[in-house]
Amino acid sequence: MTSRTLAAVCLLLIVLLQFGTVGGLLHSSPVPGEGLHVAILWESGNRGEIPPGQLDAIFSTEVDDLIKASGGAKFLMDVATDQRSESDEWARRAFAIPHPSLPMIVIDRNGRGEAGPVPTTVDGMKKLVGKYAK
Amino acid sequence: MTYDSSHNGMPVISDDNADQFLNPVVDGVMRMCSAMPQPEGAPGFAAVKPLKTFSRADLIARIKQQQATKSDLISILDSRSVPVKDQGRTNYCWIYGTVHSMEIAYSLQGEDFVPLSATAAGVMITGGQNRGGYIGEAVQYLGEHGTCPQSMWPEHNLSLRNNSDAVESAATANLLTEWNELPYGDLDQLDAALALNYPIAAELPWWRHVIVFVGHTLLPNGELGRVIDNSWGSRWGKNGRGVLTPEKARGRMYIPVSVKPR
Repeated sequence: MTSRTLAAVCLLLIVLLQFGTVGGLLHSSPVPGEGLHVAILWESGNRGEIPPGQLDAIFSTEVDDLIKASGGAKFLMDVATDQRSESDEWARRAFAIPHPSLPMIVIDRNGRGEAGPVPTTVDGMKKLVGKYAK
Repeated sequence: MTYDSSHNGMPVISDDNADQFLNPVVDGVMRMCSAMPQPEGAPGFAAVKPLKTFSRADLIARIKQQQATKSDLISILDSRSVPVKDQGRTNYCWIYGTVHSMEIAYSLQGEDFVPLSATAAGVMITGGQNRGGYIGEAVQYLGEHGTCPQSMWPEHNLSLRNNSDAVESAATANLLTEWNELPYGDLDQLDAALALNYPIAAELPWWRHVIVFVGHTLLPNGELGRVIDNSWGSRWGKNGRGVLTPEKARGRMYIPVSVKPR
């Protein structure tokens, strides 16, 4: 085995140890946890500034049903409200990550996940959540 | 403007029939309308930054879009089985309506539905008197003390003996953290707030009653009805829900912007 091959094997081992799967590298979760969790960070009192399609994506019961069917949980978290009383530890961690723009979604399923802007349509939201739901 | 007396199974309350909704007997119980006007000098609440209003055509398009994607407040409440409240024989519509709007705010936040005791807060505010009141005093109390779950203080039980350290401690987990008031009687602002899925607790002077606005419905005559959750139990109206015509929807309106996470 050449030193170059050895280095490649070592790198692969590190990736596997860090992310579980190589695929996990593509969707390494910013807030790893167990099961499906979805947090939406927003400012409740500022919802008039949110485009209608994005607001529908936040409130869609079809998305909620998708999450529920996967045994997951959704958290709508107001950045203007003290969240220390939130009993779910994953949700508290999701709230703590930087949220440079709002509304932002944080999603995780068993260590795979992502964070970013809330999709601007219900279909976009269903597609995003669907990637992580069963 | 003439209205049908019901729409989609809900009573439509208009100038033509409003009298029959004053202290009616529902489910064998005379229902009390006991909201009092807010006294001069009572603590006020921050006026919400005026919401962007809609033209009639845009509002109707927006409502249809929300209903099509099941992202309107009524779809959310139905999907999460959030029931209306029942004030029984009490004069506590002002606290039942306010607490219901808080239950809705919790439900929107994604929290499991926990029925909250409106009676507990009402008794603590009044010292156990079965009297009328106004939303402002309910909001102030719920913002400072919260209220406990019904499992700790059953509804309609006006005894102060229900209170305890455990009850007061549990109440602080269910706290209003931010409220705003809409301009009095401004239906454009009411409609804009409903389109943003805010539940709106409102004192209606003609009814001397507090209800919670939860959505819109387009009536057969082309007029827009505002859907309410009443506090007379699920046997009133359609599962406790009814419709107010525009002339009956004007009053003092409060929005629960946020509640304490639990």
